[in-house]
Amino acid sequence: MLGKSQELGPQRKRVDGATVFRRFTDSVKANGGDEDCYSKVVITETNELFGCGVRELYKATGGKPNRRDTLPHEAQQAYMVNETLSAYELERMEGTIGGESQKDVNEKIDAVVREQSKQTRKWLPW
Amino acid sequence: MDSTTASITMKLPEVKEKVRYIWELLNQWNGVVLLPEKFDQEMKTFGDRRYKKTWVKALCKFKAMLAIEGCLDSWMLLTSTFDFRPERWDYEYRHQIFDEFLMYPEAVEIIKTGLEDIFHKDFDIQQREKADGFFRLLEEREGPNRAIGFTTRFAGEISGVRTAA
Repeated sequence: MLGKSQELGPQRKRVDGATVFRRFTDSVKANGGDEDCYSKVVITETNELFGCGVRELYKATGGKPNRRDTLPHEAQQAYMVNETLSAYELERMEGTIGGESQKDVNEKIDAVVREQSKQTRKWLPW
Repeated sequence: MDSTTASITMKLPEVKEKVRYIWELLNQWNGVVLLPEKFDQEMKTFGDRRYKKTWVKALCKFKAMLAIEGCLDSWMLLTSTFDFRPERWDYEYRHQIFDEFLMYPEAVEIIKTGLEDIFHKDFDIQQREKADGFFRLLEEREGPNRAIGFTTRFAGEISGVRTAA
């Protein structure tokens, strides 16, 4: 009697900053980026979106260092928007980013994130 | 030989190349061209540049700086930045990099919050396993010679690592 009603629907959870960031880093990895590249793209997007470094951002906003959920909501939203769009762009480019060295690959990924961050910045009110 | 023991040793030219690269990552800002003189000036502060140990010191210092400067989320430090695995180019210098990182006043707090995240938030086992390289690093540091040796882990979750008593 219960039949299909017992089948589970897609397992979904609320999207938060961590979910978005994971997808972003997955897209960096899928394009060949390494651990140095993860750190670099975070520095790049922070520079472009807020005009400062990660440590400065936490200090200036009174957030608990390295806890994204303690940043002002506007900052969290900006990261979410930018990392979502950057991930889409990197996913689109998957398989096309090559290079002679890890450095080349990392630089190309960083350039994609920088360009997207510049675009995102234009839509932000600050 | 233990499978986690580094088998590749970088030669001096390669170390130099890596130092330069990490320095560039740290200093690029809006695509501004970096002056070679600035790099030379900074390198002089590490000592005699004829020796490999000088370059290794700079490498570890810059890598620790990159870890701090590029850390938006504490957990990422454990699941990526310090997830030292033998195939990584910086594996042989993992302890020295971590020592440099511990020089930062906020270092222990970052690790603490990172551990809280990976053990208490909605992290599943697969995601937590990404920090295995970090836990192995700590395992290697346990004992009288190193200051930090965490025993905070869940029994049976980390293969090849003995569980806390």
